[in-house]
Amino acid sequence: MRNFEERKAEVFLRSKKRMNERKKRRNHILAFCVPLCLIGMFAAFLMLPTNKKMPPTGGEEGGAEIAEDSEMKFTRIEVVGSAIGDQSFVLNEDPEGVQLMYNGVQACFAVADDVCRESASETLSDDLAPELGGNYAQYVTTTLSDGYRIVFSGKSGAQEIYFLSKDKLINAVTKEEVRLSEERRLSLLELLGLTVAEESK
Amino acid sequence: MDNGASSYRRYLEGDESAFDEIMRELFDKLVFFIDRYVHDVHAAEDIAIDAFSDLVVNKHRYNFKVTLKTYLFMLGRSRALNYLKHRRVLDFVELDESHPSLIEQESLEELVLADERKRAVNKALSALSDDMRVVIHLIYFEELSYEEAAKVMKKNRKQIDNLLYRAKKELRIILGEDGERLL
Repeated sequence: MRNFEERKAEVFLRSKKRMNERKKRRNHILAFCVPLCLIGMFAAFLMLPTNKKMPPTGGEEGGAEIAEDSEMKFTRIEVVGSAIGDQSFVLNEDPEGVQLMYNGVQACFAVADDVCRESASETLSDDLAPELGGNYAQYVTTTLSDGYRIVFSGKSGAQEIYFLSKDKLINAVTKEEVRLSEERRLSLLELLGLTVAEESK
Repeated sequence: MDNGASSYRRYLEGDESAFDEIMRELFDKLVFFIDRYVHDVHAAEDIAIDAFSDLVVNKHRYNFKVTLKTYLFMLGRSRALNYLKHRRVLDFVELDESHPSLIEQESLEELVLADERKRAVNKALSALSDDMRVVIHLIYFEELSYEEAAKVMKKNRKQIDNLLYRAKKELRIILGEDGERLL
């Protein structure tokens, strides 16, 4: 058996060995865990849901699609006729069709008479023209007297209201008004698929 | 007498000589106790060194709720049982009286058991089962309380009572009428 000094030396020698082993083990764990954590954080960052407001990565085409979507905010057009007791008639609920009509109405404010007439003709599809024999006035059965309200409505609740009289188109919100020539008014009516009562006679 | 707790507190505060006091007081007793399990003085010494190195490495594991002696004996017992579990089967050789291991064992006995009566009881302990031997050792030789012995052996107070009762009964049979006085 060892003497006292030998025992004491052996106790401290083994203690030192154990503490060194513990340190080594801790360092190995850190060396393994730290990169693992970094990889995990990076993977979590990649898997985060993408921000819808960020521009698409598809290039110009993707950008154009997004622009169109944001412009197509109206999904319904209805007309309210004051002369017929404020009854409302839904003219179109197809978002693309509604958007074309909206663009036509906006064009009347923005451009000259000629352009407004042309845009009205272009928006009506060619395949409809042969069937109706070019008579767009028969496209809808709704008949209206002069002076009515055109209401564009969107899914988000957005609305734009226009007043159309014999010779004027007025934006109800901005109070902007534009005087319409007869041709221009008829083009607009054609675009909207409307007839005025006196015309159907 | 706090069985080393105040010395250990001084050691934790930085007094290296306090550890010497603890070793001088408790090392041989721990070896003697561990030998009850492993029946090999050298292995018992090795295990006792490991138990003391636990005191150095895991300094704050001892919470002073039991005496340092009890805590050390708990460490020693657990390491001894671990050693027995992993020990390979050895070839057992008959030892004659002049074998060095036996001599060392006897000198350890003389060192720890200064009292002749205790030495006489110690000789009779080899006939008892392990648990009975250990409980007699803790209560009778190391003078631990029943609660402390229960903590070391990981039993409850009632179990220690029963074990001690049965061990004394056996010893009375082994030691005879003269032996009755030794207990």
